[in-house]
Amino acid sequence: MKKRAASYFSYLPGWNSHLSGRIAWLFIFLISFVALFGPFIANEKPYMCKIEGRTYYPLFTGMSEAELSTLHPAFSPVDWRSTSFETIWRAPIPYSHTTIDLASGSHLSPVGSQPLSLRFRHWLGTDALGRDVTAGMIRGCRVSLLIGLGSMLLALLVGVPLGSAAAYWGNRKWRASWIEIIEVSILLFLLFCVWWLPVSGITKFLGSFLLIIAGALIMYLSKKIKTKKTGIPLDTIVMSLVSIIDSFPGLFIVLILLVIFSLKGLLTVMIAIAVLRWPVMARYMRAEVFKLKENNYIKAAQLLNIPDLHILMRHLIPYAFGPVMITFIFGVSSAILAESALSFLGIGLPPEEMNWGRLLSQARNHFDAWWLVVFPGCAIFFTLLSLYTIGNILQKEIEGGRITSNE
Amino acid sequence: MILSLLRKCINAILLLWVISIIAFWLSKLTPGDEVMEYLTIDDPRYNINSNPLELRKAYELIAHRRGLDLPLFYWSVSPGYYPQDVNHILPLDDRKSLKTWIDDSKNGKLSLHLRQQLKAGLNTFCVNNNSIHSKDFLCQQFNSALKTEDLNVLRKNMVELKGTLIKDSTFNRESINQFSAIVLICDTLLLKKSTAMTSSLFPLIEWNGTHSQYHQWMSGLLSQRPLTSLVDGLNAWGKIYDALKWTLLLNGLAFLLAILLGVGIGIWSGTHDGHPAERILNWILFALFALPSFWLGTLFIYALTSGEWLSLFPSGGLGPYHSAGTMLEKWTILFSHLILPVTCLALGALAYVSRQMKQSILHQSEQLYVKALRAQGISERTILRKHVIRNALYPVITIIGGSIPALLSGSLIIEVIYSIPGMGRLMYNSLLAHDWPVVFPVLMLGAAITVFSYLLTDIVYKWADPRVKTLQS
Repeated sequence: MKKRAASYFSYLPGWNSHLSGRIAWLFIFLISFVALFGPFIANEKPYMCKIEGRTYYPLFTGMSEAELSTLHPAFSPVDWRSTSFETIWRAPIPYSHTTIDLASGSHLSPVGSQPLSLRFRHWLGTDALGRDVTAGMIRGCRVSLLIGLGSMLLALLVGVPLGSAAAYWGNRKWRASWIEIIEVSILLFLLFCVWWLPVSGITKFLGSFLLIIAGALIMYLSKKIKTKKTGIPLDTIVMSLVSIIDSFPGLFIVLILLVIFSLKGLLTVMIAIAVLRWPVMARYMRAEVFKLKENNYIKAAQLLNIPDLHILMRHLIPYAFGPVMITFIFGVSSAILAESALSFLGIGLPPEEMNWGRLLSQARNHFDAWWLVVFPGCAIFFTLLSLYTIGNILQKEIEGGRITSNE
Repeated sequence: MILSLLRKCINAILLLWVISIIAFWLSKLTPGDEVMEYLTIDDPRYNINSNPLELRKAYELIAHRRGLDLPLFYWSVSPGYYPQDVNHILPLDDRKSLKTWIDDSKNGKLSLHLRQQLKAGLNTFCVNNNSIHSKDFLCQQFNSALKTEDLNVLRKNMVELKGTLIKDSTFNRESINQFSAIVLICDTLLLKKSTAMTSSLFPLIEWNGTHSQYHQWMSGLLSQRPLTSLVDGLNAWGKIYDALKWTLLLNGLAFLLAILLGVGIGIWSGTHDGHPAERILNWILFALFALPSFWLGTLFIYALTSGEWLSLFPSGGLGPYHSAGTMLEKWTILFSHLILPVTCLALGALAYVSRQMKQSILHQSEQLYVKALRAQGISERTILRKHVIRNALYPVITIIGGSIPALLSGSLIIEVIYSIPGMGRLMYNSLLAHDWPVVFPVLMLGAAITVFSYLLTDIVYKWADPRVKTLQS
């Protein structure tokens, strides 16, 4: 009997070929698992508690503290640790990342004695406010992965279309007649005028809609008129945008953006990092499509008069998937690094949020708290190391593959 | 050669110009009223609680002196139904509320009239030799009415004021009529019956020429006009140049260390590929590449300076550098204080450069020309020294040039951790203190360094490798 193919894991780059690759993937899985189920691993609310014969599920109901207090008077000053219940099932780490446990003392060392029972021990110590470091680290997994993946997905959404379009159409391939250019500029000017008209929003919207339809009609009718054609410098436009963003010192401009708009939150940090990272994506995509479009199958498709957009979407972008994945993985690691650097500087995230960079930054004020230096730092370091390892293996596999396919 | 060089220079200047526009635009989006902040520095007698009439006069004076009453850019575009001089109205809060009134009612003339009425009220009640006893209260009311963006709220406040004043018998009837007029205007504006369709349908495009804030700002930067810091009111250029000096020193040392060691290690590991020591070194370099520099910096401080473990180095700052007497003393202080930050900064770049150098050496060793040279009986040493390393260095030049902006960003955190008074730390502190006049010139300086380093890389690359005609793809 033929042996069944290896598990789905074997599709992961480096899972079978490198031990380091397998370790890296396992670490990434661990981080992702903790990120997904973080609130169920570290939470001050119990899974289930029984009081006066009635059973409650505080963790699963998703109720706020105020809502919980209406259920039972014992919940009103919510102190899950000292209230006595008939039965209680707690999360493995009975602290949330926001739980302030000053009663046991700030800066509790993970190795020293703690005035707590073993069940409530702070396994990785506490910070200046008596918040549990373990819970903070668990929260950090979620924040880092969210920002890393989210910002790079945003960058992908912007960078891939722009980069591939710039490479495919270049400066000359996309041609427009002068009359079309004039028509479009007049249309844009009219739309601009409508925007400033002293009328209400809905009228403006309708007006612009009508204008666009009329413009499209006129452009269709004037198609017959033959004028000299000129290339639209798409490549130059995209690459100028890329070089403008590249010329700002990265961290400087992100800090300025975050302070000016003073919007604190995950989404803001995500967008700020994505704004900075999409040029990298666009540049790689451009280089890749440049190489791919020289292939004979693309030339054949062009000769068969297949629409450019179709060629780009079906025959070019899918084949650039591998190199884009490499950039994506390296991008996620640099986004995680940027995010923790920002939190380390204390800019970007709201004060009640907790992550690795913020834990690390607390060590700056209190250097005997070595656990605030070591654990979050190790988390960042090993995450980056795993991502780099996977990216590196993927790069080798793809480049090796390309060399053999060309020969 | 000369022509393409010239083109690259022009490109770089154009790029910096666009960047300066973006930086200026960002500087105008900053929270708070710039003129008020300058006012508290230039004329400390005034603050928010001063008499509104006098405050407005002082405000206009400062705005004029600082050029902040000018339009923003070389041209300005506004809707056709805006009155001509909306963009010259000061204070900025008033301008903002007036624009909201006009946008809501689409009636420029009447909104301007409302503003004049409110200003007349201000002139009546804010003068000192006035006998009405509630005049201070009324004065404040008119002042805040001018800044109220919502017409409904404005009307409600005015009706309430009128109601209370009618009961006051000492109050003069004419002034009551003034209130009635204001309420009437508000009502008309709130009806939104636009009379503005008679005005121009096209947006109003004005050409301001050099009388624009951007032009003044940019020429100020280029000619180093004094730059008032909002923190201490002193000229900030001295601070910026000091910071630049330290940042260049820190980054220059790190850069040299990274390149020299990185290229050296790269050559060694490229020629000893597969050697057990090389494999271990490769792993170490790979780990270094993933090591966040700010963690390394914190670890160093924890382990080597704080006395928790060892106390080999001073923990931060520059120590007694400025008070040191002899040159030798200065250099020893500098060395002991800079060694940790430079190491932190250099290690990441070193790992990157050496890995790239190794790849490049391996790639070159596979080339046919190496085989040909071997066949000619030329010694391995000569092949390596004269051919492989030289050719392998070309791609690394681009990488080295590209690492300068990353170094600049990295040095921000390192400077903050080690409290070295460089550009990054200046930027960080100014940002936290909302010292905008310092933040944006520093940003421009950073951008200029970046653009310049790219340009230099291009030139060096071209000079080193004459085969490169265009560096486009």
